Amino acid sequence: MATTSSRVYPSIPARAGVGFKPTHFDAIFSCPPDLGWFEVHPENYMGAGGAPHHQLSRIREKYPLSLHGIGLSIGGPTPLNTDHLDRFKALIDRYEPGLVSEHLAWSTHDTAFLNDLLPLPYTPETLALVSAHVDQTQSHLGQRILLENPATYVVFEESSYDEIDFLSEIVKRTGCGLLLDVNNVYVSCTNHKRDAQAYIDAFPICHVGEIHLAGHAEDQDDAGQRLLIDTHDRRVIDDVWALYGRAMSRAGAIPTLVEWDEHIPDWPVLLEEARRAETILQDVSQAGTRAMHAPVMEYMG
Amino acid sequence: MSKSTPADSERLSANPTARWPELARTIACALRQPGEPVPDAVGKTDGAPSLKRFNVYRNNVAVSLRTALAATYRVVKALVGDDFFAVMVRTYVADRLPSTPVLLGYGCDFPDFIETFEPARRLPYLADVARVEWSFNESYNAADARPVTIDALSALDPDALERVRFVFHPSLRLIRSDWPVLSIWHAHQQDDPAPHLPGLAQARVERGFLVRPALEVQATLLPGDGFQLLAALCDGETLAEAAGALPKTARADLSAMLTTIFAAGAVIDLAAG
Repeated sequence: MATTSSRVYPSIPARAGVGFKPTHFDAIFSCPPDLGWFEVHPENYMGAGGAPHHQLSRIREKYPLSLHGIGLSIGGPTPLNTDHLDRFKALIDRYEPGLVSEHLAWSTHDTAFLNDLLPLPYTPETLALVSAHVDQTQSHLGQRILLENPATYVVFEESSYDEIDFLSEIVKRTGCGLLLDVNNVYVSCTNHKRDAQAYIDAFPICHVGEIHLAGHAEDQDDAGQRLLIDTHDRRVIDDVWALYGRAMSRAGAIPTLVEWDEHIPDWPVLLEEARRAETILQDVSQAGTRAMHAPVMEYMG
Repeated sequence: MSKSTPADSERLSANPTARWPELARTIACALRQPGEPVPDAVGKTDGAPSLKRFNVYRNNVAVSLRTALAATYRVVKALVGDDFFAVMVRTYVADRLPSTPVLLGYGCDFPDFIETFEPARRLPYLADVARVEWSFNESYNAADARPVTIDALSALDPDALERVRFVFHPSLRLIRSDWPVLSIWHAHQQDDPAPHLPGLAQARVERGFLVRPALEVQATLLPGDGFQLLAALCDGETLAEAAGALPKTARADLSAMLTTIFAAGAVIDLAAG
């Protein structure tokens, strides 16, 4: 896609980062930690001014920043909201993020925004739709994006693609990269009785520009089957850390974010989670599994 | 990269043989109707639809929007309690999903809704408290600007002073109610979850404004004549016009009123008339 310019901002290092929460601002700046980067949802910074922009500017002065969109509804049948793309672009121009990402999901129907990351069937029809939306997003933003694998609770009878094949095909068609959410892999694979290790091993890791880690809740469905819910409200569980280690051993170090969006803990707890990821990243870097993860900008088409 | 264009997605949406638009519509409707069965095409791995699994999405939609409204309307929630707030929000959300993904703009008509919400009638000040909170939300997110001090006014010669119009801070929001809503709101800004509100539920006209000269939104009470002056200046009247409309008895206080307005950081520039 010729219209995607090769915008190059300071890139995100292959280190651990965390989702920035305003409640942590004072703690962060009372003693700025040695942390690789921060990530925010752009939708929370689409006001005109005030404390949100003040805080994000302070963060950006000191750390690389990633923008992780939750509102584009790339998987939805409704045309993308170009006003929202304009707002997103304005934030990219202002904050010069090292990475920009969105979800393989939908959230808008007609004009109603449902505020959740909803699942879609994987069919030739939705593949064409999602690819067109990713293309449009990258053109509009002048920026390559990473697309995140979803946490799902249901599947669709009519899906004819495996999720990994679906994502790989989108990458092939649009030149986008992928965001591998390891907790989402664990949640979805448990919910749909699939092998999470096999998913991680099969994932096209060479296209992954960012990793997400988070905590989840456990419940049961009507039939008494395990039902994991992607809540981002607690620590990452050991099984997910193990999957993460497996992915990093295979790929080498990739920028890794710890997400914690509900029941937000005191800053030291979140920092401790990031340090755990950092330790794993350092281990794989030293082991030299892969000298350096291919930087995202190499893919600019 | 492929050659698809933005128009492709619109063509796909309009394609009558496409299945996804219809299925997405069915899902979007079912998400908003708690009693409806799970749409046929949605299942778990073995094909059986699971209400509990689908309800994870229903719950996410409902809870996330309630959380968004609760963040904006913290004082309303504290005044009515969690359960009442949840019922009120459920009724509101059912007919008014957000129209954009920017949730800091969600809930602007919640105060009007409260006014028509029958069970809330016993708290006649509730809608106006909500209006203060919406004004706060707007003020908090408004564009940045640097206030000027009253020295800017003092520097004008008498002719210019007559004709001057004020340029106000983008975060300025005027509050006028038959209830002491700024006092009620203010009492809830402390950490105390159940502030003592002596006499605050008595009808009493209260006027003032919110403004955010830097990062913090500040509330200022402005008794009747001062509020009239500020409102007139906000409407674009010159200082002479606005001051001339004050009752004669209030004109002696003009200087004090202006001092209050400037001291709060509400004025960012002066424009020649």
